[in-house]
Amino acid sequence: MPGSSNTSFIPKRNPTQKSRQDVKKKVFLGSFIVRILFFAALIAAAIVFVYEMKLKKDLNTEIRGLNEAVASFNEADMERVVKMDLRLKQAYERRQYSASIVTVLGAIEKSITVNNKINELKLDRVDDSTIEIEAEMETGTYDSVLFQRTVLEKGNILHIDGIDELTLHNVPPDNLFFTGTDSKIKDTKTKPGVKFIAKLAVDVADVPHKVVPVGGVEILFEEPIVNQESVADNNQEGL
Amino acid sequence: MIFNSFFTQIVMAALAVGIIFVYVQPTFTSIGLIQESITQYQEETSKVSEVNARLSSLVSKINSISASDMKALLTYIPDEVDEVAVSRELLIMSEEAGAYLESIKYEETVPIPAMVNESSVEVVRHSFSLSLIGTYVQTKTFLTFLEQNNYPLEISKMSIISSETGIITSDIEIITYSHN
Repeated sequence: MPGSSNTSFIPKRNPTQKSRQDVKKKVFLGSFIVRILFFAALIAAAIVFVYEMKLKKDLNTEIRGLNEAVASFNEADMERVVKMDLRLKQAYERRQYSASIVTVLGAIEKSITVNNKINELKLDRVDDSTIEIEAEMETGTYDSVLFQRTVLEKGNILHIDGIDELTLHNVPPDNLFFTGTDSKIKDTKTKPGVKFIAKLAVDVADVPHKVVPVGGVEILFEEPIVNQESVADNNQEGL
Repeated sequence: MIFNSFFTQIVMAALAVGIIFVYVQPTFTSIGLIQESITQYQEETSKVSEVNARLSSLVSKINSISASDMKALLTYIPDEVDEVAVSRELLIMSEEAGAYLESIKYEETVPIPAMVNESSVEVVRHSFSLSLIGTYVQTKTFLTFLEQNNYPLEISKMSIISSETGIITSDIEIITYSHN
């Protein structure tokens, strides 16, 4: 009967609706988390694997770079530079501690008073910065010794450390009571004298060696470096 | 579906945990170490490169020193001291000064005095003992020549004795230096 089905009071079942309800899945939260965890672990493992490979490649590149840098280091150049550096330091230090003994002698000349005479002079460079001097001197009176000491104490270059072995060599008065009949005493000692040793110190920094330009490195002693006449003029009151 | 079974899900969970603890976590640690190594290698490479650059710069500087300056330096601090040449030059100096050089003796290398500064650069010392006779002016001229020499001839010790005639006798210990 055509159209009878549409008038029935019994509700009709929609076939598509039923089948949809049948295939509806039941997804549980736990299984969802497990799946996420599983795939996340897989993805993380893949990422970590790839990243590790990349880093290993980078590390190899760095190692190669270091090896190349080390290989490009020239030991011969280094040895040359070290040797040159040491030589320059040696030369610089020797120049720093260079001292002019001529300047020291000049200072002694200026410090010795007229009445004093140096019999013996000893210089000893005890270290790089100090020169010790012992001047065995002779004069006529103790006053001269005192005056000489005062002059030395005021020196800029020479620093007096003290006076040692102060000895008087006296002459007996011209009187028979002292000389008696022995004329030998009077013959051997005509003038009284006082001998002493002046101990001096010089700071090397006060007497630096001054380089006088003499026209390059080739010169040695082809021509006099110092005008000897001027030296002689300056030192007429020397030893 | 196979994924829906309880057993499968247990296996998946176990695999996930296994992957994380057996591979991902150790690999993370390994990545940290590799990163540290890379940083270290980069630093070392940088240092080596700096040293190389500095070395090149210093070599260039050495090469730029003029031949005359280099010769002067090598004369001032030679590799070795030729005692014959030095003795000869001392004799020439005494003759130029007009003094009489009675004797020269090469004392070979001598140790550095104990009181030398601790920061001193090590250098080989060579000692020459000589005895000079002359006037004060001649002696002083000789000392001036020593000071004007192209290499150091330092007076380490000197003893001057004067005589009544004005002639003085000097015993002098001279030190010169060499690089080796």
